[in-house]
Amino acid sequence: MASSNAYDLRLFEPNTAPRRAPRREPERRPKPKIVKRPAPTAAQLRAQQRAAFRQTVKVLSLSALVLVLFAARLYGSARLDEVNHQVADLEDQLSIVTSENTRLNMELKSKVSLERVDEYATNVLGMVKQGSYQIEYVDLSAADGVVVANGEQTGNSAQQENSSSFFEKIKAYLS
Amino acid sequence: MAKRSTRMIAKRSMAVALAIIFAGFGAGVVSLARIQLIHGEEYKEKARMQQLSDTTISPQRGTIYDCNGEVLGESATAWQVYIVPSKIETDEQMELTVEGLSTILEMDAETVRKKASQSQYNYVSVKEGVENDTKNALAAFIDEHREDQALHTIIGFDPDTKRYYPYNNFASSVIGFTGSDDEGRAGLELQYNEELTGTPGRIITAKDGAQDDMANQYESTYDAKQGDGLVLTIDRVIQYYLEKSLKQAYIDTQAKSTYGIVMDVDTGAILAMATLPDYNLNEPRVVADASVQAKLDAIQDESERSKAEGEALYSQWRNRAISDTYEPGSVFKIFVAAAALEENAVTLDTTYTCTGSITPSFRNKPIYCSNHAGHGTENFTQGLMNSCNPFFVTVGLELGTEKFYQYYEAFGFTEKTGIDLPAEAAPVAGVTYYAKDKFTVSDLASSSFGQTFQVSSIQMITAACAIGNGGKLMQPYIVKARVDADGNTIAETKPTVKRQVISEKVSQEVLGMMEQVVRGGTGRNGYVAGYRVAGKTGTSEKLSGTDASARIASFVGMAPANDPKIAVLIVVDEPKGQTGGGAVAAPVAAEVIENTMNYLNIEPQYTEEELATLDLKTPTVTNLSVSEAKQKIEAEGLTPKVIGDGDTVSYQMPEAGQTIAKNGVVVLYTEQDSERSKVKVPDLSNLSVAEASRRALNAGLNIRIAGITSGEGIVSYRQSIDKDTEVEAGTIITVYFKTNTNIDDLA
Repeated sequence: MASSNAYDLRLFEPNTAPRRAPRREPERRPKPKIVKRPAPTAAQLRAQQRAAFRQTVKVLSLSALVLVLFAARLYGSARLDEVNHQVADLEDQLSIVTSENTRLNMELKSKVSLERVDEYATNVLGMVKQGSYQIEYVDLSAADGVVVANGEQTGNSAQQENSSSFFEKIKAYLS
Repeated sequence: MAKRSTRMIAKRSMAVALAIIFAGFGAGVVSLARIQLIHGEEYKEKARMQQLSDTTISPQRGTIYDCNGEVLGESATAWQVYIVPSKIETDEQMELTVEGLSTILEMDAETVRKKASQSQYNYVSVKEGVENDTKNALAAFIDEHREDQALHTIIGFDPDTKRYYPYNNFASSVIGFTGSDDEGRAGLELQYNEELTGTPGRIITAKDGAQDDMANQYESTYDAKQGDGLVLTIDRVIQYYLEKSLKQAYIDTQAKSTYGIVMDVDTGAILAMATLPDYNLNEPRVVADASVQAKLDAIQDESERSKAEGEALYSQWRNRAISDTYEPGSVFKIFVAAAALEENAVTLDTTYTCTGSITPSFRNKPIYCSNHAGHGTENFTQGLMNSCNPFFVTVGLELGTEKFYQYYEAFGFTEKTGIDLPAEAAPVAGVTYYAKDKFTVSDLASSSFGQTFQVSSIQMITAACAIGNGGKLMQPYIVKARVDADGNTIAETKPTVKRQVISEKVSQEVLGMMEQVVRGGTGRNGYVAGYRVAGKTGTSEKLSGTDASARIASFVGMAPANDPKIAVLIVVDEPKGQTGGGAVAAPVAAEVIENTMNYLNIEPQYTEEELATLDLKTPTVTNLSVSEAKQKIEAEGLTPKVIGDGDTVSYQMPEAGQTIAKNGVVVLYTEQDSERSKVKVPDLSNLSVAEASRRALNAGLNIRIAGITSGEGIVSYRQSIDKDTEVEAGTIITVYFKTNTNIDDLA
C-alpha cells in the first residue's frame, strides 16, 4: 500500500519527546532584485541638465544678491561717513562764514553810526534839522470828493459807488 | 593589587588636575574681582578716555539789543593763536615765529619773543579773538614755512569767540564788556552774565585704535544752547543825543566828568544813561583818554605805572550815574517843597522875606543865600525860582526832623534803587546820610537846601520822576526783556510801583513851581522853545574832596511840564570857569530835552511870543529876474546879495524853504557855472543875539538861534560850525544862547 500520512496515527499522538526550540533558519532576505534602470533618454538627460542648471542659477543668484546687499550696505556706510565728513566740514565753514558775516555787519554798523551820519549830514551835506514850518497839516475831516470827467463834482462817495459797475467796485477795492 | 594602585593613581591624578584647575580659575576670578570691583571705576575711566572723544561745544553768548532791536553787542567765532615754545629748536625758527606773529597779529615783537622764549612750556597763548582773515594770513605764513622750519609744529589755532560792539564807545558804562574767558566783567555783561552765557554742549564720539573719531553711529551730540539775548530800555537815538551833549559839555567845561540819565517818568525805564569820559568797548583795556595815557607813559617805575594804569582803567569803566554819590545841592529843594506841601507845613501862598542869610538859633554861623543882598519878600514858588536857601531852611524847620526824615526815606534816598546794573552805590547811614537817631535840627537846616549828605544820580532822578508822575516812586530798570536765539520773549520786565510818596495834587503843584524855575528862575537856560519844561538847578560844594573850590553842577528837568514823559538829569563834576548848575548843566539838559521831544514826535506848541521870534522860511527866487528876486527877498525883511552878472537867478543860498533868521542874507547866483562864493566862519561866541546876527551877516552867513533868546544877559556859548571854517556864503550856522544872569543857586 502507498503510505499515507493521514492514517499514521502516530502523527496524531501527543508528542512527549522533549521539545527543542525549533531551530530557526536565519531569515533570508530576498535577494535584491537588481533592476537595471533603463538608460535615460536624450530628452530626460536634457531635462535633468536643465534642472541642474536652474538650481545652480538659483544658488548663484541668491549668493550674488546677498553679496550685492552686503556691498551696498558697506557702500552705504562708507558714503554715510563721507557725507558726514562733508557735513562736518560744511558746518565748520558755515561757522566761519557766519562769524565773518557778524564781523562785517558790525563793521558796517560802526560806519553808519548815528554820530557819523549826523556829522556827515551836517558838515558835508549842509543839512539842518527839520523846522516846524516844514510840517504841513492836512485836514481829512471832510468827506471824500470825486471829480468826474465832465467836470461834475460829487460830494457823496456813496453816489459814486452806486453808479459804478460791480467790476469797478472790485477794482477800486483791490487798488 | 595592580588594579587598586591604578585606581589610586587615577584618583590622585584627578585630584591634582582639579586642584590645578581650581587654582587657575580661582586666580582668574580673584583677578577679575580685583579689576571689576576694586579698580573698576579707574579702568572704566581710562577706557572712556581712550575710547571716547568728549568735546565741549562752547555756547554763543547772547546778543544785546536796544529797545528798537538794534544790535549793541554780539558774539562771533574767532581764533586763539598759541605757540609751542618747546618745539622751537633753532634761532631761525625763533626769528621767523617772532616776525610772523608780530607782523600779522600786529603785536609788539618783544612781547612775542618773551612768550616764545618760555621753552619749558608746550602751550602759550599769544592772542585771542583773532578774526578769520588774520588767521588765514597766518595759516598761509605757516604753510610757506612748513617744510623748511616746521612752523606748523610751533604755531597753532584753537577755536575762540570774540565779542563785537559795533558802536565802540556807545553806552560803554552801561553795556560793559567781557573778558578773555567770555565772562562779563562790567555793566550789563556782568549783571546778566549767567543769562547771556548759555549752556555748553557736548559731542561724545568713539575713537578707533588710531585715535580718530569713528562713524556717526557712535556719536552722541548735545547741542549747545545759545545764551539769552537782552532787549534794553535804552533808545539808541536818545542815548546818542545824551552822549553828544555830555561830550560837548565835558569839552567846554573841562570837567573831571559829566554824566546823565534820561528816564521815562511813568514807567521808570531808563531811556539813556552815559558817563564821560568813556571808553571803547572793543578795547576796554586801552586807556581812552590821551592825556591820561600820556601821564601813565611818563611814569618810569614799572610797578607804579602798572598800579596807575589799573586805577585809570577802573576809573574809565566806572558808571558814575550809578556808582558815584554827590551832594545834590539845590535840586533837593523840590523834595523839601513836596514834603512841606504834602504835610501842609507850607502852602503855595506862604511868603518869606529873604535878607541874604539866616542864622537859626542853634547855629553860630549864618547860612547864606546865593543872593547875599537878599531876594526880598517872595512866595513859595518864587522861593524855588530863586533857589533861596534861607526860605528853604525855614520850610525845613517848619517840616521838622521827623517828617523830613520820613520823606527822605519815602523818596528812596536811604536805600539802593535796585536797578539791574552792578556796583550801585549803597547809601550808608552815618556816612552818606544822617542816621535817623542822630539827625539833629542843625543837620535838618543844611539838608533842607541839599548840603551835607550825598545821593546817587539814579536815586535823584527816580525820586524826581515821583514828582512828575503823580507821586509814585517807580522801580528803575534797564532790561526790558530777555529773548531766546530766535527772538522769542522769555521774560519781560513790568513797571513796578514801589510806593506812593506824595499825592497827585502836590505832584502837580511842585511841577508847576519847577516850570516857573525854568521860565523865570535859575533854570532859564533849561528853556526850550515850544515845550513846557519843569526843572531845578543845583550847585554844591564837594565836601569829600580836597579842593575847596570844587563844585558839582546839576540840573533835573522834565517835559512836557503839564504831563511829563521824560526826566533828564545832568551832572557836571568839577567844571572849570562857570560852576553853577544853571550856567553849566541846564543848557545841556535843554539840548537833550529838545532833541528827545522832536524824536518822540511830541510837537512843540509855541506861544505868541515864541512865534514872533521864530525864523522865517526862505522864499523861492530861482529863475526869477534879479530885480524881481531882490524885491521878493526884501519884502520878507531879508537882505539879498547878488553874485555874477547874469539877469536871472540860477541858484540861491539858503535854498528855498530853509529856515533863515529875520534880517538874514540870501545869496543869489546869476550864472549857472559861477563858483560858489566861500567865506570864513567868524567867532560867534560870547555875543548877544543881535551881535551874533550882525557879525554873521557881515561875513555873508546866516544864523539859526537855539536856546533861550529873551531876557537879560543872553550870550552865545557855542556855534555849530567852528570859527575859521570855510563854508559857502549864505550857510546857516546854529548859534546856542544862554543867560548868566540870576541863575546862581550856590551861596
